[in-house]
Amino acid sequence: MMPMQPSCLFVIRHLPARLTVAAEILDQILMAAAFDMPVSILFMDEGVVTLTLGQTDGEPPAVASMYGALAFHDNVTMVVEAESMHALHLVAEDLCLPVSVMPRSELAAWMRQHHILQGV
Amino acid sequence: MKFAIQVNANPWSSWGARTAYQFSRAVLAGGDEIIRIFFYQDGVFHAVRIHDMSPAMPDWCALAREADVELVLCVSAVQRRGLLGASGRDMGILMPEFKLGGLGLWVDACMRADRHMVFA
Repeated sequence: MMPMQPSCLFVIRHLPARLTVAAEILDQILMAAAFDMPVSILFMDEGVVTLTLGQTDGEPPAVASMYGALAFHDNVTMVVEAESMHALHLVAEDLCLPVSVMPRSELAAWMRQHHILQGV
Repeated sequence: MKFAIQVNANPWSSWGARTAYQFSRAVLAGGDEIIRIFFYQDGVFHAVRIHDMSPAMPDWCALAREADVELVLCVSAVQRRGLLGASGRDMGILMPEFKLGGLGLWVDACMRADRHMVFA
């Protein structure tokens, strides 16, 4: 019987200002997913902007397109904090990827379900 | 207890790296085990050979020599920052106590450790 894989939660709270760092975070997420670790990604505060459609052309930004590659992994869950969306006046239609929206009051219990937490 | 340690902080503009170093020393002094120290993002600059190193900077090489701790640099992060020559050739600017490895080693350390600590 295979041992249970630890689950991993990445908390993204900052703008994807440096593409190198954004790509490196994504590399880590992809690697964890490739090893069959259950991976969750929580976008909160300014990190929500990572998933917004481009302001000028309505196209997803480069970083969001990279997160789109995670759709091929069925062990990856993406969650956005509801209060962060409201603070930025965003609704689900403004985001370029399908994500779950979770209120802040439920986040602590959900985070406790993970073995590894990495804030970025 | 077994620890996996990840250092994202660069050596010169953040206390994260200094804290990581002191934490690692405390772990070993307490009789616990460090599976691996993984240097990622700007943390790979810790491996750059500096001739007039400030006493305030963490001396990872001494730690590796004294406690036989494995220091691993993410090879893609090293290449993105131009620390390797063409076709991945070592140009002699990286200290030999650090070895190059992939993100698979980070996942391996996470899976084997009881605690995973990130210093950014």
